[in-house]
Amino acid sequence: MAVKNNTPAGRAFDLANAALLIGLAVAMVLPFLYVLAGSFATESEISARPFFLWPNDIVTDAYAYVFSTDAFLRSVVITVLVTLFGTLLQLLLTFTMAYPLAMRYLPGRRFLINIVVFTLVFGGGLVPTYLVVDSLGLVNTYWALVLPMAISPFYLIIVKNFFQELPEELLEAARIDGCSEIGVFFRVVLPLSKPILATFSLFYAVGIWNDFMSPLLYIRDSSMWTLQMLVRQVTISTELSNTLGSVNPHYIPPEQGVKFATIVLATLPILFFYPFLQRHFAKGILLGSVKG
Amino acid sequence: MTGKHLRRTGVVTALAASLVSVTACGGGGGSNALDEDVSRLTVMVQLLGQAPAEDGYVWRHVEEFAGVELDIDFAPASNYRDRLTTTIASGDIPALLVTDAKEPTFTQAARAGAFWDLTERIRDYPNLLPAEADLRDSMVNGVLYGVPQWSQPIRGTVMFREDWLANLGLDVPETTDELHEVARAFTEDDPDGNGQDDTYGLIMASWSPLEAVTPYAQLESWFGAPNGWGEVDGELVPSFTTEEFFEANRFLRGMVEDGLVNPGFATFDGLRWNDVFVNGEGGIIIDVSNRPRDLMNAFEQRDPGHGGDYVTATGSLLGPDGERRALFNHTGSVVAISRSAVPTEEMLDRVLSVLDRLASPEGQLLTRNGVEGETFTEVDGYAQPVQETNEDRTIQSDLSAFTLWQSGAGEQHWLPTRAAGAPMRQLVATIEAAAEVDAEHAVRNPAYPYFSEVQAQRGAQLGLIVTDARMKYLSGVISEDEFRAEIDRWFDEGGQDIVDDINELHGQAN
Amino acid sequence: MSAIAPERAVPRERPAPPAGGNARLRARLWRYRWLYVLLAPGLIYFVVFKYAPMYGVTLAFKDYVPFLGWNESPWVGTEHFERLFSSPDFPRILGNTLILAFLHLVIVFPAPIVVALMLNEVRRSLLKRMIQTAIYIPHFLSWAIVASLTYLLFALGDGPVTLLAENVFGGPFDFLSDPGWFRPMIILQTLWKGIGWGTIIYLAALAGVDANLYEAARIDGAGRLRQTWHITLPALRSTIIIMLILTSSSIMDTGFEQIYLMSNALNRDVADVFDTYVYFTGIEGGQYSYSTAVGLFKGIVGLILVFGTNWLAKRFKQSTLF
Repeated sequence: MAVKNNTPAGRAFDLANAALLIGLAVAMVLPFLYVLAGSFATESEISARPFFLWPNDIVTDAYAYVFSTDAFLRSVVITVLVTLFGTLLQLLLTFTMAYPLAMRYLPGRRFLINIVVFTLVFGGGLVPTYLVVDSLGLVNTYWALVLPMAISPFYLIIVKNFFQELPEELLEAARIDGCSEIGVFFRVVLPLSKPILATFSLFYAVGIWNDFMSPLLYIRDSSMWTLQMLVRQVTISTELSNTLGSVNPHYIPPEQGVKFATIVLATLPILFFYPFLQRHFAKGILLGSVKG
Repeated sequence: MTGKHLRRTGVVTALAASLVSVTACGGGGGSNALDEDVSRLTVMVQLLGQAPAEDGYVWRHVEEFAGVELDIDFAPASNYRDRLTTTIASGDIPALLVTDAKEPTFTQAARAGAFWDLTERIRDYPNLLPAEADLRDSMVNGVLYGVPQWSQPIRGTVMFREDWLANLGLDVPETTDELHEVARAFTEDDPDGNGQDDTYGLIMASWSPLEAVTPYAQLESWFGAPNGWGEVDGELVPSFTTEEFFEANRFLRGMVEDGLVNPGFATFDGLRWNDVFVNGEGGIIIDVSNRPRDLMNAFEQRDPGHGGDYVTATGSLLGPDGERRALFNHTGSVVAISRSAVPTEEMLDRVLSVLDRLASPEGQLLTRNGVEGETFTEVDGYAQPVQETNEDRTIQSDLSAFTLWQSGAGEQHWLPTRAAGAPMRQLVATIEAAAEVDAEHAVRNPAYPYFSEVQAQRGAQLGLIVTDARMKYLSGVISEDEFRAEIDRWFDEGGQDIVDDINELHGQAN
Repeated sequence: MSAIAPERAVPRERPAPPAGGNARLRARLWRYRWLYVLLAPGLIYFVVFKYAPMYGVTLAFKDYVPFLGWNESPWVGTEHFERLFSSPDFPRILGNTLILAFLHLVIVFPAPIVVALMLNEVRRSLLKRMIQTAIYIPHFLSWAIVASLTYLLFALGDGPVTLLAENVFGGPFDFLSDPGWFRPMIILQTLWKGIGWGTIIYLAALAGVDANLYEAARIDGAGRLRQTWHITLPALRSTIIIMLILTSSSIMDTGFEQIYLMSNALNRDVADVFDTYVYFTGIEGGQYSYSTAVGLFKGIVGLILVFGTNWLAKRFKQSTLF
């Protein structure tokens, strides 16, 4: 963190900078606030007012509808568990692979990195990937939501490059102390990597949380649906049922409100995950500073 | 270095190859296969709303009635095509698969022998057999690869602000000329009486594929353009080659130029249709028959007790020649029976018997309406749904999910839902009466029974040439000559091949 | 100090014994056996989930029928590529894709860096956190939601933003269907959705910058902008370059959903890109092989770009992937 700089020019700079950023933040948060306000508004208000941040009449029909079955709560529990477990697994696989690849003296390293880079641009495609997942017996299991994308080549390479900046002397000292490479990795490297661990746990967690394609393809049992499946079903099927003309005429739920409420409910939990990790960004020692 | 490099590449390739050989074979049996007595049916069907619970009321009752255990895979409709492709590729195909008969992935698989050919066998099951013309629609060039599903034959409906008509002393239009006049009055004569020039007549949306009951296609059909394809001198031609098509679009462009249509119609999202109508910005919508009810509900929410005063509707309008023509709403949707899950003819017959039972009058009533006295009560030929508690509402939503895999496209024996309140029932009666008249003047698409390989490959991309040009012409971006030049481009870039292919199929069929 | 100088003065390679002989190699492999053990699970992942399905690439040279499978589907050679390159739409689609890719590179790519630098200058920790959390939110909204909000806000005639623009600048604005507005709208949406999320990686890198460096610079009389220029930005350099190389791999992926939702009859001439083309020609028509061929073409362009930018980075002595 930079030190206070109390010159008038510095203060003006601070002010302008903060103003710009606040403006940016407002522009980004306004539409979400509209969604939030809409989730508490009546259907007629949503259709009558193009954009609003505070509903005239606050109603909770949409939330009552969302919680009227246990489908929603069940999907929250499933999603949270899959996200937590999946993130741990993905982090472990990514970091254990990135560390050896960061060691420039490792025989075969270049070839291995090429293997990774190649998958950045080429993939087998939808059907072949499905057939592999299917042949491993993972279809309709939660593994299918985690394993097929366990390591992002993109993230792997960034982590590898972070590791490359670790001071060799430190690792060498640990080796002299009698640590094996695995010991060095777990006792020295990982503790030094808290900020990037926090960063990539966020990336992976949000990746799993936001993913609707994997559950869509691999999950058949609707009692195993994740939150995003539910959200997508709600936000997209109103449109589809309109074009297909098969709206259920028996009972009309507050359609728009439900759409907004599910978006709010699907976004808030993961949003709270961030401030929790943010502490690690702030106080963590990253690479450069230990080298100082 | 190179040698080492190559050796290792070899190892990885071998590993990968061994995995491929495990994965690429697929085929046969799998978890979807039925036992010989068909005591369990596996089904894959698209889902629009919430997924029904497996131990739910509807699920249990249908299982009991059908006499089999049901294992239904409700796949979200938004990405049903992905699920269809992967399921077919895996070879582990459910016994029953609901799909459009002309979905290319399905048609290819059916031709390769993945599904039973029911062309002859369907005639042994009276409840499953539709009228001859509808049966042809469900076929792929004369071969039936699944049990046809039912859909409403007439859907086109025009709806108006009833209070605006009353304010201006106008009647519901019966002809396209009267439509123009009402749209003009709605725009210029201050129909809401607020003293401001803040209304327009017709609300059009951007949704405009060629072969569907869109506002554009309906308007064109009123002027005499065919339904997708028409027969001219024994040849099948696309609707956009007919003069009636251009006449209809000239008419609509005139309305746009006079400011009678919402200015942003080319990008107007159909999802906001109701909003604009209910907010009093526009007063006419050309769409399908369920929308007037949605509109009336929205008005009822805004003005409780008076929702009925705002909406009225009619079916097709008479063209400039005084003739009535209404678009027929085709469905090529079938319930296909897979040969991997149902390997023998004996099993096939058992499966068809189950479907036939579900399509019987009692079966239809159960799967569409539920159980009399428990989920609905009959009033004047309509079903009054029971929806007091959350469970009741879940039952109603489960019922609508179950109808999506029902077959039985013949006579329909289930009860339409009784609308809430007298004004709504009045509106529904008006729409139903109009649909009955329209059914007698229905215009069918003579090319619908055909599946053209060329069209499947290039039709979607080529179709954009025409629909984009139509929208540009209507918006005043291009002239009629340029519009016609774009149609020529459609022919040049591959449209001619489609026309030739369709006509060849047509020739073979007759 | 090395935080600001990613290329190291001292080579980090251990002084390896001169190469020669299988015994030497075996000894080396044995020496690093634990590293290979660490590497193994990840490698197995790549073999099983990334390389085993890779045979799918060959479908571009076949006429794949999903039910028949790989073995039974006939080979057709380069037919799909010939069809792609001879398609009357190809030049236009390639052009549109490349223009969007270029705009991504020069506008969308640097934007999070600028915002990260700005955030780095915010002194109040609470304010900083609140801004950070706020700008991440759009990342969680799907394109379907972003598009419907756009249609709401930018609608012709009555959209709040349209009205504002017309009041300030005069004249009608047709943001949604005017072909001239298509690319600005796409870039605006992409920025809105991704700029906050994109800052995370740079903020993580900045967390490690030694505070003493700023102190020293301040004593030397450097102003805030000069500190940013001479300390903060160099500290980010290696991250920026790696991100640039990685981004170039997917530069042809313009994102199907966003473009599809924002394109319409009036702007399609500029909106059509490979991803939407594949949808209408391949997916709608059940032509899996044709879609694969287009994907392969995009992949080859991506591969060339990755190796190209990596080579450039190496030439200018910057951090590289390899």
